[in-house]
Amino acid sequence: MIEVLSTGALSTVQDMGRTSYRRFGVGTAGAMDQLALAIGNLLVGNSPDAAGIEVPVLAFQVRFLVDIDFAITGADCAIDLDGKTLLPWWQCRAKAGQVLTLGGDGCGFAAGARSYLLIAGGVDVPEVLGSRSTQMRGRFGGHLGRALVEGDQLKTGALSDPSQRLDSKGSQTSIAGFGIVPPVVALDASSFFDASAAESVPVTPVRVIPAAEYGAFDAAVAREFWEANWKITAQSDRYGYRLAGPALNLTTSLETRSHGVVPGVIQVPPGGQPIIQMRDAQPSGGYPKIGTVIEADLWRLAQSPAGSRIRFVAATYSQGLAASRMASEYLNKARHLISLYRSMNV
Amino acid sequence: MSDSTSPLTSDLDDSSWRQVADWLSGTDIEFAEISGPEWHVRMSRETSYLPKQTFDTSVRTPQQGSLVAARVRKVVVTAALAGIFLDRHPLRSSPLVKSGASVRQGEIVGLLRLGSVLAPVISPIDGVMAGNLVISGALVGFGTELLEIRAGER
Repeated sequence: MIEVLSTGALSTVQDMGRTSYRRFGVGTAGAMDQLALAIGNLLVGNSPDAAGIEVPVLAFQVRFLVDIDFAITGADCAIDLDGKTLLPWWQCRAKAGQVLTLGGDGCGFAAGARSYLLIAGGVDVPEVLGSRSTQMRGRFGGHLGRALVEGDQLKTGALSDPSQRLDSKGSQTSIAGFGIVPPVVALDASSFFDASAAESVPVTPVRVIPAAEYGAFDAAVAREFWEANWKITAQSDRYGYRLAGPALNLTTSLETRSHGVVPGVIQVPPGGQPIIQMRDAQPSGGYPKIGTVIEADLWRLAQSPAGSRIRFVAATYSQGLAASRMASEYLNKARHLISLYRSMNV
Repeated sequence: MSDSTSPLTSDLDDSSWRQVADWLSGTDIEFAEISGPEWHVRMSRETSYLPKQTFDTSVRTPQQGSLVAARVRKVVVTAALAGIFLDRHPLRSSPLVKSGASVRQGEIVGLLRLGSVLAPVISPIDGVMAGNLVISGALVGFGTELLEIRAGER
């Protein structure tokens, strides 16, 4: 059981999302950075899709009401357990009464946009339509269908595999916990993007497969799409990222009927400033689609805060699949090594 | 070994250490390392590479040579598993603990990377980081000496 002491923004309970009800108009919701959710769950012995808490980078504080293993993944910000600084992408055991603070003072080196708090057994909220994710638009799922507020108490579920519980031998090494090499290092973008070729501003590259209406844009406009450093505006959230950059105007206006839209789809509304649909997007839309960010790079977007810049790198369908395989491989290796490490007597 | 209050050696009393020293003096063994969950003692002949001043007392055995044991002033932290030794987190540009900085017992002073898992290297005592014995990024085996912590305050 944990109690929320303070939360600065829309912190929500999320798992991998509600993927089977899009045909009924139910958006997926789910963690923006699914890799961070999965790794954090593995670190505490959960299955990768257990529910955790997504915390936008701003002060967030919880008190543990029982002794429990927890992990923090995602954005690299200050992590403090009762005055002790923890490493990023790390797990350890909290004692009942201890207070965990994310962000807050000293968060000067914050990199990323969302942190994840995972707890052994997962956050136990009722499953609605096959998921524990908070569906903000529909006000269901998660904790009472809403963002967390001060005083909320969240129960934890039973561990799926009790052998995954950290033993209580209490050696200093086991008390110190352990961590994982973060995806930003393990899956760094150098394999598909030459950062030295970019401008002086840091950009996050994401791979994009051209979508149905890509051909409706002039070659010159398409070039701008690939070559611009797009700024993520302040009007960006779990629903979608509104980008600022060169206007992507169509030469002839295009009318499309509303059609299915998934997270990652880049729409170009009139005005030419693209919108990338994110986890809370509605499942249909009618704007022309110029491209789709590959699923394997959605975590890079999720960790790109407002004000930062992104770059689109052209990819093919098979490159998108290969990238997904690399991410799965990283997860699978992490899963094996984590259980190996847990079984060691250190 | 005269200091029974040392947290490092409190599991064994002085006479036990003397006995181990006596046994070793009758052999060709150059050094022996004994660990507990919270402590680590290296006993060696004086010719060993460790500077003499790292030992508090020495025991003259009736035979030849002298064997010395700890109240260890300098603790050598060894690798609890094989992996890549790292002096900093992969997301950080500065080391976890700089040479000369104070460390607390239980503090993470290094990391061992096994594939993608990062295991902590822990300081067994309150003290001062005396330095790394291997370079960050080196592949190390079980028991490799990683770094030294000097006991006491800065």
